[in-house]
Amino acid sequence: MPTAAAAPETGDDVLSDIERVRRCQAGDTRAFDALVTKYRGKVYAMSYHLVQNETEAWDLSQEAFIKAWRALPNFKGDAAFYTWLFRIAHNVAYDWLRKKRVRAEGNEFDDSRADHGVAAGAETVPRGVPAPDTAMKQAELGQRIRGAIQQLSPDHQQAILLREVEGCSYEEIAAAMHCSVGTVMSRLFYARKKLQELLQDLRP
Amino acid sequence: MNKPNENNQAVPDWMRWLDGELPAEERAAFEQKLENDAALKEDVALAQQLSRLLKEELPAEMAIPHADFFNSQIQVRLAREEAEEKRVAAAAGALGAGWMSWLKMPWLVGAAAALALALGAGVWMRSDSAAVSLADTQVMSTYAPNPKVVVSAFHSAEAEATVLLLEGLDELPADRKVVGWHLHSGEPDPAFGAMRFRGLSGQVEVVMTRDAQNQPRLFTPRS
Repeated sequence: MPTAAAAPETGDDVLSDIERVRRCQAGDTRAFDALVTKYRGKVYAMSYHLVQNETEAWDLSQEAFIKAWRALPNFKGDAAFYTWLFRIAHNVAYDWLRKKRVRAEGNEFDDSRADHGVAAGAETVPRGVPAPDTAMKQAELGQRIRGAIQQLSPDHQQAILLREVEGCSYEEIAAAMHCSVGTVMSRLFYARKKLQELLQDLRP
Repeated sequence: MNKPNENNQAVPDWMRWLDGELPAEERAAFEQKLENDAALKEDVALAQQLSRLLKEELPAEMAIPHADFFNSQIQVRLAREEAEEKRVAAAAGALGAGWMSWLKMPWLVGAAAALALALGAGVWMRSDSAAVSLADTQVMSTYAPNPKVVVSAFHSAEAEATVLLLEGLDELPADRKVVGWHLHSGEPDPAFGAMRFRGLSGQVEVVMTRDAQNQPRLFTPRS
């Protein structure tokens, strides 16, 4: 899980996160503003990687910080502030993806189906997913990868982003996703297999 | 060796090795196997390539568009929520959680005691205002949270004043100015999230509110 120590610091950033959190808990909105400034880039990046849309990512990042403010009275400091904030932000984006899928499909999102609907070793990709060679011609590398990420279920997206982008350990991912380490390993394995299939034309 | 997860699905050792999650006692054996297993080498190489691509193309931090506006919008929403909370609290006819939280502040205990004494005196003044003589009256009840503090109260009809004596308090620094009010009643002011305290004639003597840091602030019309 990303930690406060690994988070970006600005030149005038002399207060620790925990000190700012204490001030926030006393109602100091300026202290919270400093935390927003410090972590908005990371929260926005995570949201953007998940939802693939600048406007939505911006709005979801806002929502994440507002939820964090509301939840701050319950923050005990057991985990680093950014770890805690990341969980909130991730849940906000996750809920958005879930609702979007419900709207698109007209029924409730099914985690179990999403987890195992596409076999890791499958030789074909789901209907509606463009063939890798076609996609490669249409998009830049970054877009290709984001597009591939988008083909994963929300749980697989979270797992792979927490691991590869945020550098979280298995235990940290399990804590963030409220699941077991075994489930984390399973999700990472299938996410990687799936991404390798979708991006196989990028192999050297 | 592959470790089964809770779903009884095998997760290959190369993944845990790649992620730095393979226990030290298993690492050497795996690395030896990796040296001699071409298929395993290919799996690991592909996974490493994917990991590199993801790290390169999905940055952990991105510049947020309209960053200043982003912050200011959050502040606006927080202010709105706070105002709404105060409105709801006021509508409920209570002082509200925000107001009550002040009572938890250590320094306020002494101030609250003095205020209670003053209000007590005010209540007494009102109840006996029709009496011909006030010479024998006294404050019937006092309370000081600090057990070392002894409270005495005297009223002078001639001076039209109630004197509250607090013995046992720490000495005040010489540069502190002590001000007292004779308060008769108080009521919340939801529009400003404040409490107004009135004197005997109904005039506002003190307004108590809080600042952005949730610290109490007192205002008087004369100050």
